[in-house]
Amino acid sequence: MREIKLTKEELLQMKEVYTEIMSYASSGLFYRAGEKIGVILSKGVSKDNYFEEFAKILKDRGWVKEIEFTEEHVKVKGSVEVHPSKIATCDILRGIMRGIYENYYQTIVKVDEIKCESLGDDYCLFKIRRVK
Amino acid sequence: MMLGYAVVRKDGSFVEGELPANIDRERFCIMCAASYGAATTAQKEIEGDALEVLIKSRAYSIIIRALKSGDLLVVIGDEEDMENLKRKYDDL
Repeated sequence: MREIKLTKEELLQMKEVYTEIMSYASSGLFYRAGEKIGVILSKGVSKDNYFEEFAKILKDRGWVKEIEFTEEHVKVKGSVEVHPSKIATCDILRGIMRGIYENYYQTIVKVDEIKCESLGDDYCLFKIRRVK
Repeated sequence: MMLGYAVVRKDGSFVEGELPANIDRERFCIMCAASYGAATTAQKEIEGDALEVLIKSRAYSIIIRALKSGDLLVVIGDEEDMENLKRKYDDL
């Protein structure tokens, strides 16, 4: 599979283009985009060490520096989407979490970012809710 | 006749409403918020404010307006449906 590399600055600039045009609505689109990435990443990941494997994948790919998965929360340090902001910013990562958890639970999952380093929190915290 | 409506946050998340079962609710709400956001940006270029986004089709129109709360009201129907619902939500 062919891969490309993006720097954090390039990713944030791309996001900025969408945000300038669509304001808050862009976060919903990034969330959907992240979900697609999560689904693709989920292919071929064994359920045995599912979350350990994902922690490694997301760190290796540069999405996060540290990550801890539990049943209801994901704690992240060093998300690539962090930058000074008045709102939580890790929407692609939030979507990736959704793809990961939906594949694991085989049900609809909602993910909210309830803490974000972009807001000055010590870490980003995602709440996982199974809807059905 | 109104086909459905939704109250949607500006990030595209669904708050409440009744939409036809065949609609992908999440996708629909995100696209409505994106349409409103893009229209607002376009309006700013001519120094105006987007009061309403109207997407016309042969069957039903989609009307999007901001509520006093800051959320968006999306109606699949006509202007009268929009006026009635907007009054209801703005009076809450």
